[in-house]
Amino acid sequence: MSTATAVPIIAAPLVHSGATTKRFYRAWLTALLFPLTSGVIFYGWRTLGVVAAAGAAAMAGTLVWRRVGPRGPLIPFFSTLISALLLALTLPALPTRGNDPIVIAAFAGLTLAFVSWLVAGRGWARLHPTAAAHLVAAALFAAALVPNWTLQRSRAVLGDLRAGGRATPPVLASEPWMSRPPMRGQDAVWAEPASQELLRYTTGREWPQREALPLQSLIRDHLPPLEDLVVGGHPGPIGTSSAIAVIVGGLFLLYRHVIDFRIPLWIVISAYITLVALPTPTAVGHSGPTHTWFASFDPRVQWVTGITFVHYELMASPLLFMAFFLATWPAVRPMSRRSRMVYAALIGIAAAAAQMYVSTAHGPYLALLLVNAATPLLERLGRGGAVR
Amino acid sequence: MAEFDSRHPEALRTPLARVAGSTAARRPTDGWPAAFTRPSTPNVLVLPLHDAGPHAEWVGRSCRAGEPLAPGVIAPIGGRIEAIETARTIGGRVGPALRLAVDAAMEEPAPIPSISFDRAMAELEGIGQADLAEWTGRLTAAGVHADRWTSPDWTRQLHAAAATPIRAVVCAATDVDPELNLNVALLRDAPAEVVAGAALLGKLVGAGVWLAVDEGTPAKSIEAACDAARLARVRIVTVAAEFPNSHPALMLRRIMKVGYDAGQLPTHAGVVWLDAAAATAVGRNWLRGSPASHQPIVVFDGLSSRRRRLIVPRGMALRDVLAAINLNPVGLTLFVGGPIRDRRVSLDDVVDADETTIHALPISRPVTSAPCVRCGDCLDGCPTRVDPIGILDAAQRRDVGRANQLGLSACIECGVCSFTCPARLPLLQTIRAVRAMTEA
Repeated sequence: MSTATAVPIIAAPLVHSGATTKRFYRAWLTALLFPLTSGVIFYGWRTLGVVAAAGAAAMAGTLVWRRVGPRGPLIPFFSTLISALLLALTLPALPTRGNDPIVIAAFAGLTLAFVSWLVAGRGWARLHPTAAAHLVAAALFAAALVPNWTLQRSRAVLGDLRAGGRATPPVLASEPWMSRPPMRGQDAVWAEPASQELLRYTTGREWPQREALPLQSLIRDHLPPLEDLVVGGHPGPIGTSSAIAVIVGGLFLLYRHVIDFRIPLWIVISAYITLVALPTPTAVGHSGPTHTWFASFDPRVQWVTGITFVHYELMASPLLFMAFFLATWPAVRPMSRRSRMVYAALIGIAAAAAQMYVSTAHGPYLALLLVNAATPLLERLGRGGAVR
Repeated sequence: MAEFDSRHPEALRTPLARVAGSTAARRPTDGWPAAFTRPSTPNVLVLPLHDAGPHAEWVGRSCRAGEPLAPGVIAPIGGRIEAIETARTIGGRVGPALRLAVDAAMEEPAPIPSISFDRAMAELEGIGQADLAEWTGRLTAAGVHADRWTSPDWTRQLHAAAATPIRAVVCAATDVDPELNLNVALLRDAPAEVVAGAALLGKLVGAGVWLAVDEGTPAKSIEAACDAARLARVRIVTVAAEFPNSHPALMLRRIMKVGYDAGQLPTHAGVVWLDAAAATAVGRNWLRGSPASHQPIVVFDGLSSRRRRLIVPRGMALRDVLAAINLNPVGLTLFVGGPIRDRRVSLDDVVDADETTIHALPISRPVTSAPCVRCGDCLDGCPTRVDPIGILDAAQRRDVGRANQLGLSACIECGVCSFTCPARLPLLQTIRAVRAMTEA
């Protein structure tokens, strides 16, 4: 085709299924209501303030950046709105004492707007704005982003996270949130998030009180009931701490044919296998951790304990949220089916390694960004499979 | 896909009698099924020509109905040739055409005695591959031709069959739009012609004959066709033929597990492919000696949701076709070959040996396209796994090589990509434009 040949102006098709991009984005917004609702239930009305702050800041930033340079007008408005909501769901409703969640959320929203401007146009399919903005906030605010508070069941939704008091006594901490008796005089209770406990153990930073801390003791004495990570009721980010809410939202997206089931499926499968295989400390002593490949099958560790550890890793990290809502984002995932499976498998492997040895709370986002950089290459390799 | 069970507990009627009985519902004048309406002939017909010419000698001459005018062009009715002009067929072919002023007073030729189906089957025994060239010439001269979605360039297929080993002849009684089921109606109402035409082709190319029927077709409605097929040793197969699976490239993959590029002919895969309408034309020429001067078409009225099956003379403008069936085209958009394929025609386009399905739909103004959201629906919906959005991107970059890599030649132009795209991108139209530029 010679450069002198004019490309004809072609009109949109007349006969159409009725699908629109607005309906497409509306499906995403509806799906995000599920993790948002779980956040409001477990962390109260302050959750909405964080969401509003992140959203408003992102929209305000977008309006400003849209006027900057030739890339500005290319920032998609609806897409950025959903990215802002996703970002808010990755933040805690109440960070560590002394830090204002609204300020942090607003900063993250402005960062999101800048990243969206940075990747507008030619940058799509290389960088997920939500993951990038979250990691920037995590790098800058570090310990401030560690969530420690959860509302008691008797004060769900309406309680105030700031009206907290003592930490849950160990005898009560082993009870699931759903059946735990309330502590009088406080809306919220303090607890160390499971992601922090797991990371200290896997990186060997967990200092044993006795001679050594075996894996069984970690699970029995230091981690919350697994049910609290599945249903909710343990300190965590707004939208990622209830696996059920995340899965229901993801299933809604699947039902509306908005996402490809291959991506979350292969992320979870590859992450699971990788977590089983990766060197895991069978015990942490004063001299450091004793890492073992395939720890679940080590004679010193019962396989039930090993598998339970893997389940904790999956539930305590935002892996499921990343798998259903971030990795499936159309702008960053490959278009062809073949490429998506490879893409998902790579993310799962990278996420498992990142959350084990870098950060349980932020590792999946880091893995997503790393694999996103390879998305264009995966796309080129996966295309061209026409049936002849 | 399964073998069709055509048994029916009517012990009092023999298969041959059922086949012969199907001729009862025919018009005595021309032998077309009575269920097909024959609209009144307009004052002018514009007959597309199929050869380069010269044709100037025809201007001013009179002709009778059925008289050969030019290679492959038969006068549907008597009249006087006024001029040579440029015309566009509803299939999109633009070229010279003979303008025929109809003279209804001209005497109709005497009908040629037709032969019965069983006699035809007896004659079939003496026909072989050595007769292919002769029959190709005869059928071409009689105007028997087809070039559409359900029946690729039939004349080129026959010529290719002379040089290529053919493993099967497939006659597909399936339609672009199953609701309109023109080919099914022909199979039901003219089974002798359809089966005879397909069987003849099988003998000429030395291959077995398959009759493909949509699995949703009621068995009772085509029992005469099944009997005829059994008598002619034609194998019947059922296949899911919902759009876009009615395309030969996709159906062939289902029936015989062989494929070919959409831009090629089915003979590339060793198959001669035609639809029931084309087989009817072959069968009519053999059984009745009828030239292919008229074309069976079906018109769907989108306002009343009625379909009208017609036998129209070739060269009749769509304007006259719609007027004859009292369909006011104001506010309607005309599509051929199915609305999703987005092939629009104008009222001045004329009926020829190509498309047979016309949808007249009340379509509002088109909306503008939005930026691609990378949903992937176009890739997931494509039946041949072409990459439509990638081709659009390649077209914008003027990278034809990349467009070919992404499956440009495999595209069957079904339009599913454009139909499902939430951003309403003109994917199909872009593919057509890129192909046109490549061919130019």
